[in-house]
Amino acid sequence: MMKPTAVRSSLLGLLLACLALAGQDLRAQAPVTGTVRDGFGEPLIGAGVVIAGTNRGTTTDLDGRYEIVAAPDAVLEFSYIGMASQTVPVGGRSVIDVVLTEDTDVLNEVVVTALGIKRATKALSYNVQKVDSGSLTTVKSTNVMSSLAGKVAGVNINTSSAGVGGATRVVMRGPKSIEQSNQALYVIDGVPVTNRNNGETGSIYSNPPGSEGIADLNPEDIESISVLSGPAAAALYGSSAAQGVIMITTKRGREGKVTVNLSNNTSFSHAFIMPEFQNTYGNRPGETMSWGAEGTGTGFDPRGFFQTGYDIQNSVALTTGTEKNQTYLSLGTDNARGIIAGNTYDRYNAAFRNTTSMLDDKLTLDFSLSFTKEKDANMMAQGQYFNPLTGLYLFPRGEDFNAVRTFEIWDSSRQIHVQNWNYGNDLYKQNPYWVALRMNRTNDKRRYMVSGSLKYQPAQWLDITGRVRWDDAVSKGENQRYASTHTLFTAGSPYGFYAWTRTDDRSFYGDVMANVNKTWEDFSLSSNLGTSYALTNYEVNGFQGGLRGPSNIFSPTAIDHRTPHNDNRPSYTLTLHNTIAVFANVELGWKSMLYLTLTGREDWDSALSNTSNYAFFYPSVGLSAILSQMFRLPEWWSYLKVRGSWASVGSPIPVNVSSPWNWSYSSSNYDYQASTTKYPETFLPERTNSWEAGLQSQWLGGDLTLDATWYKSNTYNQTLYRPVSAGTGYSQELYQSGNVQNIGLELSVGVHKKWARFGWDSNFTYSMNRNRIVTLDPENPDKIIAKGGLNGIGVILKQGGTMGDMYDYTTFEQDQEGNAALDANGNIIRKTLSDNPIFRGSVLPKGNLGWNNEFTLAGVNLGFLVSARLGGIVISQTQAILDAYGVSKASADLRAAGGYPVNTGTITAEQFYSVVGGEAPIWQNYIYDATNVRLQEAHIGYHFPAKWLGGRNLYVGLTGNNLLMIYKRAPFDPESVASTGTYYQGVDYFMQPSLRSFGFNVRMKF
Amino acid sequence: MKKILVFALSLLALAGCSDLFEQINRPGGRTNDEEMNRDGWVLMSQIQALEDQAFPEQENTWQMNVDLIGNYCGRYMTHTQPNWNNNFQRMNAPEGWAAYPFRDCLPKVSTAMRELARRVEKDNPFYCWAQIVRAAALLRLTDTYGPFPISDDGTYASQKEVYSSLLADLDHALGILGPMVKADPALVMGVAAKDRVYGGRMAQWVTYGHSLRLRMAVRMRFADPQTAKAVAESAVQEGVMTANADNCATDFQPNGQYKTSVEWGDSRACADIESYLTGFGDPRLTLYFKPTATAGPRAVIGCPASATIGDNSVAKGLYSAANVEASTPGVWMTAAEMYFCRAEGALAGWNMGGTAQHLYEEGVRASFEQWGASGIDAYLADQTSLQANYANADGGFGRSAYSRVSDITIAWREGDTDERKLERIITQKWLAMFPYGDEAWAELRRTGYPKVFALSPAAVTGADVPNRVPFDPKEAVNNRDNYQAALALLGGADDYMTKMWWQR
Repeated sequence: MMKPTAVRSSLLGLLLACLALAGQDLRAQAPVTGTVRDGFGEPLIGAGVVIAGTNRGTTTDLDGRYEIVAAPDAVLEFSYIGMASQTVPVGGRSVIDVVLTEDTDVLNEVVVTALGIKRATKALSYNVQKVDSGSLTTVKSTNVMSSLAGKVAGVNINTSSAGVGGATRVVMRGPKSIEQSNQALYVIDGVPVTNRNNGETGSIYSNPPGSEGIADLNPEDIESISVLSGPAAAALYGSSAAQGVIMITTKRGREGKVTVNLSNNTSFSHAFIMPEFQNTYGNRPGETMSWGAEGTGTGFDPRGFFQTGYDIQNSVALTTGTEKNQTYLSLGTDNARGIIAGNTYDRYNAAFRNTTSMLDDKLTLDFSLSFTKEKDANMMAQGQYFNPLTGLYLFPRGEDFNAVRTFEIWDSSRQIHVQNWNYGNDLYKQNPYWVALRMNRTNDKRRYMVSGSLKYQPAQWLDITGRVRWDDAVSKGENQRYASTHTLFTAGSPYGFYAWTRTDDRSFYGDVMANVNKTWEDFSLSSNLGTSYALTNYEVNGFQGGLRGPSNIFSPTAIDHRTPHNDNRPSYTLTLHNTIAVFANVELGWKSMLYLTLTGREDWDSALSNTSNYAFFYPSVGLSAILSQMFRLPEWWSYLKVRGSWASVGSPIPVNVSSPWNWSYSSSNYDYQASTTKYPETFLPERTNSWEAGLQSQWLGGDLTLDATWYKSNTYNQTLYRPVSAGTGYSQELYQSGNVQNIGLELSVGVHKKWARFGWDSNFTYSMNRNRIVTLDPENPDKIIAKGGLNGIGVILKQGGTMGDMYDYTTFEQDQEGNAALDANGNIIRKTLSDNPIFRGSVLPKGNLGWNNEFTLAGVNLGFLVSARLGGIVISQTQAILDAYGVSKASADLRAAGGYPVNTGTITAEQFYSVVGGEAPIWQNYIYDATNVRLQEAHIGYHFPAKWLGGRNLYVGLTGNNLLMIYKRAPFDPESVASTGTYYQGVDYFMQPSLRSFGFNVRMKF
Repeated sequence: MKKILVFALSLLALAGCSDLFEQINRPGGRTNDEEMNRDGWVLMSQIQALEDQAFPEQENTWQMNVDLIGNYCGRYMTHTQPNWNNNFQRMNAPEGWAAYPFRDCLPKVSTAMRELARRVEKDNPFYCWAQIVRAAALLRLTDTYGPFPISDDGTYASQKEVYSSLLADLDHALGILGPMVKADPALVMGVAAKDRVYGGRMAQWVTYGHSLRLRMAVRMRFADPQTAKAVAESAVQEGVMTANADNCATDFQPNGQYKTSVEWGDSRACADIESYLTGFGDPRLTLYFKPTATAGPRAVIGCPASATIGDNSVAKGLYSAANVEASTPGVWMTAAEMYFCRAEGALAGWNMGGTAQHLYEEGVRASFEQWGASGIDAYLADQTSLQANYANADGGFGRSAYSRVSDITIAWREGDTDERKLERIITQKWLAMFPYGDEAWAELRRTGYPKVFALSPAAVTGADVPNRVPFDPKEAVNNRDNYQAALALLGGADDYMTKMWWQR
């Protein structure tokens, strides 16, 4: 379930607790007792019970029970953090049980903002969206970020097509940076974490992608996620924050008796969207393409290659605590396999967190330790080289696929199994099972995170907090290719290939902050002043190469080290990055209805060393007004806030770009090479200036909510690689220029209604973003930067375009009448437009919709999420190649129709697709509208009444993901991405199908 | 420990960030100028970088610079990939292929020269050495495209200007290195092991430099006969390669042709060279090429140029791969080539230190010696053997048969016309220069020899041999004004058919 804004207030509770300690009322008459519970029947510990009009009160005990002496005509006020307070007249009763429900009153909400600073929602001048743990743990995936898709406005989340364990692409408010990452910053409990995203691929020859750091989290350890989509919200995080922030708050121990949560989520998956094949036309003898006669097909269906994937997640969490000390302990496991044999993902998490208060609660120590062991194998997103799908999809339709199921056969002379494949090596096809099972890529990671925070509160209005986090992930990557793998992949060795790397990814973060909260009559001040230090260290060591023999010895000593060159070579990377910052945040409030917020941060960044200025400053200013308190609004109009902010966020140039250590090692010529890039005299930090305005409104006491945000951001001084003529003596020029603008809207409308036993929570989100390259190179407005793609089509950046503009270099040669011209052999002619490619559309979406619903009736809950993407294009070379090989349904349909009509009659389907499809297709045939609408998630479950189970809670539910594609034009799932990088989006080259999954979950609490 | 130190220091360092930050912002595995200066490394590193472009043996640069272009157009090799129907033979190569030598080589050459110029004067022997290697690289590039940018400001020079500029550079370099070598014939410069060609032995580099002048002189002899004659005679006077020990051969490993032909199976023998070697009963046939993996009508079978390939795994077996090992040195200029150049010069009446016949026969002899082939005397006396009629492999791709297109014989006949003598010289020169196809293609364009089979299917232009490779189309965008000027210098359309300045 999702709310537009955030965490509940503790202010009221605090106030009441203070009151409770105050004096006695002599008119007190009789004792009243009872229990305070929440909506699920859970006792609420420490709830406040106060006699109205007095300062007398008490709090509930560990069982939620209270006892208070009150007059028969008194009125009791019950309150609890995050719950709506209730007033109940005693009416002479001696037992009063109360059920408190969740507070939807936005006035007292508190939200966690940048650096973990808690602020009143009403004071915020920017959009913060919160997702609670229920939304993330009901329908689970191996990567918790996938569960966020469609639930937050202004954020595009795409899951990599790499299979289980795949990374995600999280881009907020449109891509801003042309060369640097556009991925969001992740923050856990106020402290930024390094999210090493290995999900990027760049071409059909790329190595398969990997997972990402944030996927290491156990979703069960997450209390909530706040999404700060705009730079103003994130300004205090500095350089990394221009792309927005995902703030993750983890669970901590609670005061009360020992509580144990058990959960199991199990799901089974299969391919969701597959290409459409034909199996009636076989291949002609001796050919690998399927252009044989009708009826020669063997009925081969590639679906049979895929297995049922599964994902089993178990978790046990324990919390316990006293008033002074609370502890949280959890264990989680995630064991999954993909739909392609060999693709597995196994993760084991352990987390411990302890919160202690000392010195009369003036000192609070929060300590947490988490450990993750993760092992993934054989993720595969797309491409030609490590992909079983080429051999599978293009398998000659007249042959017997069962013959290749025995994918290896014993070679008695070599005493090893060798690959069994006789169906052509075009596109470097190999036996699909061999590719899946004998070209193994594994990654084995151990990651520790230790963090501590010490908060000293000498006075009610002041605290000083220091925090540190140490994050250390060590992984071993291995690549084992068995003998008889195509020698292109074995560095020419007949004995196999081995690569190993050891990656040490460490980061340290520390900060100290002084926080002041003070109120004088009509005015309030909330201010933070602090300094932070961050150091990341990323080191990769390894070696790769063909094996020296004997076959299939996969150890570093078995690699042929004799002549290091392109294929046999060491891998070594060491990158350090250090940022030191001072920052301040001042929030001035007037009568709790008008707030002015100012922030400023100065960064000293090691990436800017050796430039004229390694420090840079960026400010933000924001204003928030609660109009519903300033003016009298109709009764039904419960709340109205308007907000506006401006922020200027800097980010440094890419790490190491300005370093004088610029002679790089080239394994191909075994020496250090001078860079062929032309550098500018000096560098400036990149800068994003953004405006944001929004309003937040509630009607009918919060039953209906609306949150709308408009924003505009411009990112300047981008560090770009500009292509230059080789005639200048350089291959490219690094320069700083550019202005990328994103203008957009974020809208969410919610219904939160409860009628006795029936409840309906609905949240509709809509986001749109318009990306525009305002300037790329002011000296040269015609300058274009080509950003890759496929053969004959690709993204071109130019002034006035977007960062996703796809240009097509191919078309049909036309005759004088404008019909398709034919060559002497009667074939269609593919014309190449090298100077003047045709704009075909942008791969960026025009808008995204999400509609999330949650119904509750007594203990039953039912929910579904419909998501849609509007606009943009995608391209499919898979389809083009399937057509050229005569294995697509389209190729069969054209054969059945008698061929393709041209001026002189018809040409055969084979003639047509041999030019139009294939590796160098005429692209206009393979460009699709990316618009799609799907039933993304659905679940139904039942909370068994606690009384049936002796006070234990049990929830059992059924879940589904990607259940139904309601509308789609492309021959593949357009939301599945081959790469999590900025480019190579909307491109399908034998991409792994996205997954549809069904499952169940069981949760128990006692 | 180092990390802890870095951490501790950086905590203290707010005031004095810059030095510390420089240490932090230091990528592992890279070096800076000061480090590169150690052991005289940086100068040799640039010589090596230039050699890598002048003699691009690394498999990718080999394939893109030589194999796909010179070897295929020069009819030494041809491709065996079903998806390569857009190629240089058919004169419709993908933009990335056509632009590759320009985009990849030139910046590397310029960068190496720039790094040298930052450190030494132009009269420094290392700079002179670099000028020789650069001339070899740029000669290959201008002979690929025509007018070419040589001044690092984006402007193109006409091909004639490129030639005269490179010759002037060679004169400058040899004018300094020549006397040094005369004074100390055993002079070895720099880190010997980094010079993969001559191990820093400058006497051989000087010989190479003069040999390069002779190669250029012969190339331009129809376009600028007077300069050609002067340069050629001076080069021979100063001393060009006469022994195979002086051959320009780089021991870069693995051999580029080994990767593209043997390991990858992208390239196989071309029908043209196979038909000449087979018809001549030439012992070099089995030294150049391996027997086919799939038994066919002959041990060594070439594939017709421009053939449409159905299945690479079939084609690889039907046709012969180059007979090289990963450790075979790549050969980029030979004594044999120099003898043939001199034979042609003698035919033109230049003072080449011998008669055309003598030099022709020395050329064939040097090639046989280079390849360890026997039977040279019988070969040179062979007055009857002709190019063979070509018959394709069983189940082969492309046209099934070609009739011979040349009636040239091996033995020198003083009574033949000059044109027939030229055909004989160039045919043998072409056979001897294998496997450096860029020179083969240049000879085909310059002289029309050897005569080659018609392409089937025909190229889009209808011609059998392209005259050049079009400029990088991105130049029209990235370097517009200079590109327009280059078109004027080219004197024709920016396509495959506009002739080189030196073509007759």
